[in-house]
Formats: sequence, C-alpha cells, structure tokens
Amino acid sequence: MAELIDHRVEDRFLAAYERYQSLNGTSEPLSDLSKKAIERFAEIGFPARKNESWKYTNITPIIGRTYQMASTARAATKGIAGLTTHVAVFINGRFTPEASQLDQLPPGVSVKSLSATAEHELVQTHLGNYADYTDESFTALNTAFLKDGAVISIESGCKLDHPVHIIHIVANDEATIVQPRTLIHAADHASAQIIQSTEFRGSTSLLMNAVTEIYVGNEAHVDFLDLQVGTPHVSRITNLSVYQKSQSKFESDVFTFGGELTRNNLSILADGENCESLLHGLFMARGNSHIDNNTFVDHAKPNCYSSEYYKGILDHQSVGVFNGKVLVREDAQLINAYQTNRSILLSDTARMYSKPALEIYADDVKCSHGATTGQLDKDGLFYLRSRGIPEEEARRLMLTSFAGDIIEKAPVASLHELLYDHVECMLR
Amino acid sequence: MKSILEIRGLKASVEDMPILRGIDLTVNAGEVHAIMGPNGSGKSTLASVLAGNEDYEVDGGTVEYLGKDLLEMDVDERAREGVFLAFQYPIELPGVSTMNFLKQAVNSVREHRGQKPLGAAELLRLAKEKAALIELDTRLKQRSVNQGFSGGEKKRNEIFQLAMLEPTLAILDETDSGLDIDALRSVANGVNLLRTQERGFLIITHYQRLLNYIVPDFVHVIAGGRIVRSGDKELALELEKRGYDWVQEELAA
Ligand SMILES: Nc1ncnc2c1ncn2[C@@H]1O[C@H](COP(=O)(O)OP(=O)(O)O)[C@@H](O)[C@H]1O
Ligand SMILES: [Mg+2]
Repeated sequence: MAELIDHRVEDRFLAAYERYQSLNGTSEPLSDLSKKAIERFAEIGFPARKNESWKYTNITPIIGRTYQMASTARAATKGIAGLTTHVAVFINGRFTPEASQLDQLPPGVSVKSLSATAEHELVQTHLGNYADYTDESFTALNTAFLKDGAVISIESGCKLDHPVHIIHIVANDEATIVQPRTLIHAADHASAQIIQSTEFRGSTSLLMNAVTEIYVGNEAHVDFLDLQVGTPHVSRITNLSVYQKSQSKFESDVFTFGGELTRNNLSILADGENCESLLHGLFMARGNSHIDNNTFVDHAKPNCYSSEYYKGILDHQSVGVFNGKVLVREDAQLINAYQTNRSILLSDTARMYSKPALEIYADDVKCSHGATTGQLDKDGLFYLRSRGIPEEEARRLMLTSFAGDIIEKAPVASLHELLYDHVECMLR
Repeated sequence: MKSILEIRGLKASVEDMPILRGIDLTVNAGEVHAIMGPNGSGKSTLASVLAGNEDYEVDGGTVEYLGKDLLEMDVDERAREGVFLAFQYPIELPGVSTMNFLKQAVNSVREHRGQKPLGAAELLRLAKEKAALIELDTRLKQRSVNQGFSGGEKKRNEIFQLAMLEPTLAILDETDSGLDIDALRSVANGVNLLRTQERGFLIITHYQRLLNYIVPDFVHVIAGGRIVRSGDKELALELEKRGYDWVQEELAA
C-alpha cells in the first residue's frame, strides 16, 4: 500500500477494486452493475464537506485509513435470547447460509444468496434500482464491490410468522472494510418484519458500509429495525433505500448506541397513493462518538402519510446530527408529513446539529417539522428527588423514559427489554 | 412533646433578592400548622427551602428536623428522612410511568427506613388502598406522572403520593387552589385520615376555606418574609373577615 499513500484517497479504493476483481473473478450478472458503480464512484468520489448533507460529518479520518477487504471466516451466533426469529447470518459482510437458521421459513418466503439468484428476474429487476449509486458515494462503493448478499423474498399475499433477523458478525484482526448487501422484496399484500443487528468481534478499526434495498408492494407491510451497538473503533455507514407502492406501509426503527462514526442514510420513495411511512430513531452517544441520521422522504403520489420521530441523548464530546428532508412533489396533494427531532445534551461539550427540512411543491398538504435540543429538565429532576429518589436514579428514570418513547414504538415487542438494557448500559 | 421541626431565624433569597427575612417556627409531632399570607409573601419559598430546592439560597438561620440539620441534607435525602412537599405546581413528567415512579420513590424511602422493598403486586395493592383514601381515579396510574392531568387531578396526585410515602413532616403548598368543592372535601378528608400522633403538617393556604375541613392547631400569618402573627384557628377566621391588609397595616403601624 505504501506506493499509494500520496494518491487521492479515492484512488486507493479504485486500485483496490482492480485487485479485488482480478482476485475474485467476475460473476457475470453482477459485474455490469459493479462496473457502472465504480465508474460512477471514480467521477463523484467521496462527499466533500461542502456537500450540504455531509456538512456536520467529517469522514476524512475514516476513509483515510488503510483497510483490508474482509476475508471469509467461520463464526456462529446464538442470536438474541428470547427472540423467535429466522436468522440470516452475514460473516464479514458475506451472507453465509451455512451459519444461518432458515429451515423454518413459512411457504412463500425465501432467503437466498445474491450470487445464487443473480440471474433471477427479481434480482435483475430490483437490485440497484432503489439504492442510488449514481449520486451516493458509499452506495456506489458498496455496489462496485458487490459479489454477494442476501435476497429476502416474500411472495404475494405471504406473511412472515416471525421476523427475519439479519445478524452481521464481523471478526477482523486488522483494519477492515465490510460491505454487506441485502435486497428485500415484499410482493403485493405481503408482510414481513426484519431485524438487523451486528456482533463486532474484532478490536481494530472497522468500516461497515451496508446497503439495503426494500421493495414494498401494493398493500404490503414491512417493518425494518436496525440495532447498532458500537464500540469506539467501529464506524458504520448504512444506506437503506425503500420503494413503496400504493397502500403499502413501511416502518423503520433505527437504534444507534455508540460507535466511532455512524451515518444512517434512509431514503423512502412513496410512489403510490395511500402509503404510510413511519421513521423512528433513537441515538445515544458518549465519548467521541458521532451519530448522523440522514433521512429523505420523497412523496411522489397523493394521499400519503409520513411521520418521522427521532430522539437523541448525547454525553461527553459526542456529536449528533439529524438531517431530515421531506419532498412533496407537485402532484402529490393531500400529503400529511411530520418530522420531529428531540435531543438532550448531558454535557456542555456535546453537540447536536438538527436540520429538519420541508420542500413542498403541492399546495394542499399538511406538513410540520420541529426540533428541540436541551438539557435534562431541572424541575422534573427536583420533583423526582423530592420523592426520595436518588439523583442518579432520577436522571436515569427521566432519560430512560425519554428514550422509551421510541422503544415503545418498535414493532417487535419482545425486543423492547433488550433495547431498554442498551439504554441503561449507555447511561451507566 | 416531640419536636419535628425547629426553624430559627431562617433567611433566604432567590436570585439575590431576599424573600424570607427571619422565620421562627416549631412544629411538634401530631400538630397541624396552617401558614397563611398574601400572594408573594414567601410561603412557597419557605416550602421550597424546607424541601431543598437549590434555586433558593439560605442566607441565615437554622432548621432542625428530628434533631438533625435539615439544611445540610440533599433534596432526596430529606425526602427519605420523611420530609414531603405537596407542590403548588406539580411537575409533569412525560414518559415516566406513574407505577415505575411510585415504585422507585416508595422503595427508596423504605430502604432508608430499613424496610424491605415492595414488589410490583404489593405496590399495586398499596396504591389501590391509598388512592381510595383520597378518591383518586385509579386510571391515572396508567398515565405518565401528572401528564395531561387536570389541575385538580394533579393536586390529588400529590396527596396520593403523600399517603404512599408516609412522611413525618408533610408540607402542603396551596393544595386547595384549583380544587372545586367536592375535590377539596375529598382531599381534606384524605389529609385528615393521614393525621397521626407522629406526623406534623405545614399547610400553606391563601384562603381560610380549606381550614374548615382540615382544622389546624395553629395558624401563622406570613407577610414580607416574616411570621407577623400566630394564633389558633380563630385567627384564620378573623383574617377571612378582615383581609390581609389588616395584618399588613398593623405591621406597618
Ligand atoms: N424561583 C423564583 N425566581 C424569582 N423570584 C421568585 C422565585 N420564587 C419566588 N420568587 C419571588 O419571591 C417572592 C415570594 O414568592 P413565593 O414564595 O412564591 O410567595 P407565595 O407562595 O407566598 O405567593 C415573590 O416576589 C416571587 O416573585
Ligand atoms: Mg405560593
């Protein structure tokens, strides 16, 4: 790598691409897409800080590191105790059916590897169709290195009995980049809950750059819950792109606890009438953690509803960012779109940048947005203490309640206790 | 007779503005003291200082509570030692479940008293029993603490907490304001049931009305940060008749 050090940081990724291709060969159906993506990446490069949507998040230290492309490994997981799910395991960014537990899937539901299904019509039609590699650097990078991934398909009218739990296991002993890819297709009237979480087993720098595309068919219903418990050497960029057909319902619940740098990109295109889109998020950071939630809801058709609610608790020198944009296109009348972001700063040095934004081209809409950032309510704290509750516990009680607001919205009730445990852990 | 509270020459200020200018007051076990006075005379300030609100600066004097220096104790420590303030303006705590709040409060106090903590079922049973005492709508327990409660519901909830925590010294700050006559009666009835030989009450009120239901042993009038007059329940009636101008005029004379 030494000879590359003077080059643009992008060039290192371009060189890595060449090596990666010659080492791994090309699996034909995906190579076209991958080639287009790397060409596009070569043009756009990484986002500069003058790019409005990256204004408060400096990725230079993260992308400037020398990473290895993740190698394959063996690992096993017990999953989350008390949670009945179908488990899809990714090891070091690669979907690994042998480590997964998918033999109890109900009829009409399949979880397959992308490489094995690359020629299927479903993949051909949808892969790369929603995650925009032409404009998003990290999506382009993920797509360029695309070799495999998971394809979750819920056929028309079928229903998942238990959630599919995507578990990413990352076991790295040197600085590594992993780029998992998932395509979820819920056909008309289908319904599914998907949970995604990560088990980090390494102790050196890790950059995870994940892309998930979700197609939600007519009258289909998909819940996607992402749970991220980071450590100070883990950075994660998630790109979740959702496409909704008419009368569909989609809910995203993003829980981010700690980590070095996290950027959650969530974009939803509501491309049918009477769509419902719910976007919930809870982020908690301390130390030097940086958590950036960037959402985009595109209302292209009339009569839709979207509601966005993000809450954050920031301690020490941590930084939180919320960039939420709602676009209501010209013909999208009768849209109800709401955005709220509330954050609590526990120290004088923690910072929160909150920018909810509305861009409306239709005239008959109901939209609102609001952001508040403040300290823990002093009067509330006094009230609790005046009932005998020690200060530390009173603070915890208030903060847990603040966070619990989002937890209680999460669709998989059996996960709530675990989420409260993580909140508790972050407050200790 | 056992003394619960001994206030000597208490002076306090808020934002450098002196409010209490030397309060002397003794409350013995089993006594109910009413504190009356015009708006802005310092009644809530006295209550806040006793509860340990750090917005108020103590500039002088001493407060002994059961022989200990009350002013040395933290807010929550005072509460665990048995001091309870029913707030004039109870705070709403969105998202904090009432049962969770009660559990933590009751068990903090119990632990301090060397009693074993109550489990969920025992707590629920206790809460039911105490809520009945003051006719509190038990459905309120399903909500966040005070959130969306009406003024009257908030006040009842304060007395309900008083009943749950069984303090030695109960301070009620204008619990009667904002209550209609029925609510006033049931709250007063609850308080009367809580009057015991061991417990002392400081009942702050602007109007004599409440004292028809909770009959005090002593009545004190605060004006300008001092107790300007003390007497028995007749004093409250006289005040009702002659108004606060009377004591203030007398003071000025
Ligand atoms: N937190 C505070 N900040 C500023 N001024 C206060 C505060 N609390 C009380 N005061 C002032 O102190 C005086 C006494 O107030 P208070 O004790 O509430 O009176 P009361 O309860 O008898 O009506 C008033 O002039 C009031 O404006
Ligand atoms: Mg007052």
